[in-house]
Amino acid sequence: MSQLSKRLHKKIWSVHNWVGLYAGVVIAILSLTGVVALFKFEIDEALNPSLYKVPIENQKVDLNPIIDSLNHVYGIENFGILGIPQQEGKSWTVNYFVRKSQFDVKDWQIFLNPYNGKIVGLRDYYSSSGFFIRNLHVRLYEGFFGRQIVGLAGLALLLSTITGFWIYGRFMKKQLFASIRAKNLRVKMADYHKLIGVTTLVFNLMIAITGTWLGLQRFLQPAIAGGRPGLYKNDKPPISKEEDAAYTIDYHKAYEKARAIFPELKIKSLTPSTNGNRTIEVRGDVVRTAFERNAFRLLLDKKNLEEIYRYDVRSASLGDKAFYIQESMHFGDWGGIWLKILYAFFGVTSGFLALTGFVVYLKRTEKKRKEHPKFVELKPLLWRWTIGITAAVALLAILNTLYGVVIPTVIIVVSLYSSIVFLLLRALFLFARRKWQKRKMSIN
Amino acid sequence: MKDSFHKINEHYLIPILFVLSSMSVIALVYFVNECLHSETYFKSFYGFDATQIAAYKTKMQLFIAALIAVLALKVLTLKYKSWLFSVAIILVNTILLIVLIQQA
Repeated sequence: MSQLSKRLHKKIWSVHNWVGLYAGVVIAILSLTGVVALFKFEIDEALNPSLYKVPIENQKVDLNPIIDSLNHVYGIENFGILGIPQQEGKSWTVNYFVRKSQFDVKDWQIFLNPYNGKIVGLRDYYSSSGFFIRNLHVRLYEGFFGRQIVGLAGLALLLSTITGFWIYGRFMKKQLFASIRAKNLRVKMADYHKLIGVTTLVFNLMIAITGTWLGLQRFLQPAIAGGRPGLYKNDKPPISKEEDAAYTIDYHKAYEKARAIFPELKIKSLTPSTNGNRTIEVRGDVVRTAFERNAFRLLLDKKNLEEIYRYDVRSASLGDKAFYIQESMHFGDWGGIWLKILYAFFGVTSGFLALTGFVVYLKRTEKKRKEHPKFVELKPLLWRWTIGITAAVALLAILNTLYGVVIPTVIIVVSLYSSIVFLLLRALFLFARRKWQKRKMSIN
Repeated sequence: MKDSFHKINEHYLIPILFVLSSMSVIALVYFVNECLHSETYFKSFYGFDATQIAAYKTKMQLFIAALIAVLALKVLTLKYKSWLFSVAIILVNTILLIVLIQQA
């Protein structure tokens, strides 16, 4: 190995080391929350069977009058989507997004029995387990830059995976692949780190790339893809916003019409426009495609239910396809429940890599760290972190269930930024004290 | 010469086999899942009739068999540690995955 490549190798190892050390905890948290997030729909449904399941009857009723009356209560301008189940014996849902103030935000979700028209249940979606799981993984409950923080952790995983693979060969010079040496804990963990890291290389690269994109989408999308692909744009709305909101819609007819003109579309939701476009947006999936949920769109004219616009991802450009495949690839939402289980198995590995990397680092630096007065042994240190993170997540879950999204978000934002401010002030104070002491010593 | 091939096999080819295995297992689970759908599911979601269901299931079974065969050959490769065998399996596995992605 030449001197140059030795130096390069050392630098890359150093990057791998520091990235893992600083982003490792976040990667481990995201790995575990990501595994749970794979099953967020299944968990939410399993925890709330009374909301999702209804007894099957022979005939369905007209839900239009019920939706109209709900519009009067919650306001048509707040109408989110009408969710349509894919199986018999499941309730329909209507969402209303009500934002009274910055601290009073609700996403009301009303469950309707399609066989008798009765309201099965009502909840603020932001208090649901499904939302909690997603928000924890996607934003870490940080209200301003949570998504970007997660995106940066994805970037760290990407960097860590690439640098890890780069330096892997050199570490394997004296060792056979897949051999685990039981010399001591550090060596054992290092061997597991290498074996798991290489075996799940492609998976972790895929998770890292899609995670980085999804997290930093706000910045990357305008630069790379422009706006969200496939959105309907109309600069000259045919009617006013008020007229549009007041338009009477027959949702059943719109559903049947959409099924007739786009038979492959498995309709998941209907959304009426309120911006003067006079449209009903029908969204759903086409089976045996791996694109994200509700990527396919059909727009009908509210006036006569004629097709205005269609977005079929299958015939879209390669860039559009790449855009719409990322979320499903990231969350394993393209091949059924068994694939999700396999994703969960692979998903844990990034957390395992962070943990084993952390153990290797701590063991490698143990001798030096022992000189420090606040030295803590490995086992209690790992327990502290585990208990601390688990307790924080449990507290967030309780607060979210009781009070919705706002209070836990405020707590996270306040504690995160006050900790950052405290640490910065502490560092500044220590720096100033050091300088002052040096100056004092030089005067003396 | 023999030693250096052996080294290449141990340090590079076998790890590549592991990487390809993880992808093959993902594909295998996907095809098994496709194969296990009920007839009602095929009819209501895929819009298939009985003949189409049978043809689709046969296709999926063929994919599953091919993937299992490749994974089994990998076990043999790992056991006998032949670099030539490793190269052959890497090629077969890569081609198979490309074909399966196109066909699926």
